[in-house]
Amino acid sequence: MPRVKDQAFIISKTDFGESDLIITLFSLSRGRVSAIGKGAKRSRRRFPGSLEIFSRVAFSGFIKHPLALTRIDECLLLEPYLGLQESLRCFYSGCYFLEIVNRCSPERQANPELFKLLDEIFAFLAGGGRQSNFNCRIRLFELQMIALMGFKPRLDLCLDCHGELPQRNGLFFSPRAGGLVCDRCQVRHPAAFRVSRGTVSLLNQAHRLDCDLREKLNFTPRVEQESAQLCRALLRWHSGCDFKSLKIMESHDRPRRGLDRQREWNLGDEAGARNR
Amino acid sequence: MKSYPGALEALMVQLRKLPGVGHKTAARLAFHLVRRPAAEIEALAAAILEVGERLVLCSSCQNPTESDPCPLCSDPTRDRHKLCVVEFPADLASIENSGAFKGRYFVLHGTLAPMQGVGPDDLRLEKLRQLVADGEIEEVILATNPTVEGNATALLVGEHLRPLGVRLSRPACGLPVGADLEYMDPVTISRSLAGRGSL
Ligand SMILES: [Zn+2]
Ligand SMILES: [Zn+2]
Repeated sequence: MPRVKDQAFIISKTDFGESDLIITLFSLSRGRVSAIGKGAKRSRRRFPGSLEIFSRVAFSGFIKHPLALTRIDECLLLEPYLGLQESLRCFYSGCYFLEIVNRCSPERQANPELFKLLDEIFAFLAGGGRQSNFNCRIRLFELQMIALMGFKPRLDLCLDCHGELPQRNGLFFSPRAGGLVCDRCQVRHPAAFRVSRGTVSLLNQAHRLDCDLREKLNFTPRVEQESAQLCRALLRWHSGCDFKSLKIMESHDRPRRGLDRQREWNLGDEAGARNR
Repeated sequence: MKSYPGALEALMVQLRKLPGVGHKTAARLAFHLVRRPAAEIEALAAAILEVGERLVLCSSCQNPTESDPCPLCSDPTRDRHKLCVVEFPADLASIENSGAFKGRYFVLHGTLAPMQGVGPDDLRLEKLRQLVADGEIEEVILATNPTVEGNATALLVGEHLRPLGVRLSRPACGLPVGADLEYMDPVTISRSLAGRGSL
């Protein structure tokens, strides 16, 4: 029976009988896997506080059969990301990213870059969510995650007629096509919606930005809203479902939106001016 | 594909709706019941029916009860100024069994679980807010479990009640009685040290 030793993020856990747990993990070497924690509900010695969502853990166990549940017999806490429990905004955002990984990453397929990104996202969220460009950072993480899952949109030509895209207005994003279509073709894409040049150039650059710039960057409300709409349409298209945590995250954000918007306008315009 | 007699299959379908009961357990329970005397099965059925007919949720604390308000809420000897908020009725029972708390309770009937679609609207927060707003409550103890979801739920409840000006508190996190430090997780150790008391 092959033994496994790996690192993973805890996505969820459910009771299984009196003392066992079924745990969903995003592991470094095997991607998303389901596992059974034998005696996990009772043994503080083998599972010392290590099965909380968001936690990065080191586990060991064995796999009876390539398609069977991994059996975990020991699990140690490496990083609990406690900061995610100290702000609702960060907690909801963390749940949203975990749900994306849970629903969109294929089972038993390693994606070490996605693992690294999740670590980066949780480290950011553990900071408490007081950053003035918080929403912008979330949008950037969404875009990075989408790219690492292989859903990166094509933005260089019309995916319908393969013609050149108009220079200014008349750009439409079609989730079905997985990228942009021109204004003549958009009638054949009922779910397509208009996006601005600003959003398109952001998408083109998003994955090339270095850490320093990412930390300072801010979007105008329009770019932020379009980028969110685009990511969600893509995720919805690829997963075939609505994300439960997204609705809850958005309804939490709504009441304070007005204030944040005001602030972002100013910062967004500044960043826009710098880039020009 | 196994096929069971209709009545047995119907029973298994109902049993599978219970928490933690899958196909195998449902079959095991159903076959166990088949072998029991008729009187025992009747008693079980009657008990289940009675729960369905006689139990309601207390309009004040939301705990299941046969009379509304429940005996706890209508007991004049209890401290009217302290309210303990818990996730589930079983948590209320545990605190009550400890004898350590003599105030009132409120049962949320859940915790935040965004990935499962459980959000603030599913947690009876408005009922809690009303109870605190028109009562004599001075302190609310947020006794949700010290899990990620329980801690987030405590934040949420706190956010809802803070404008009412009541004192909000949370039970201390520490070493369990009889525990062995050697096997304790780092989070529990650091929280218990942060919340240490003087000797
Ligand atoms: Zn076209
Ligand atoms: Zn009551």
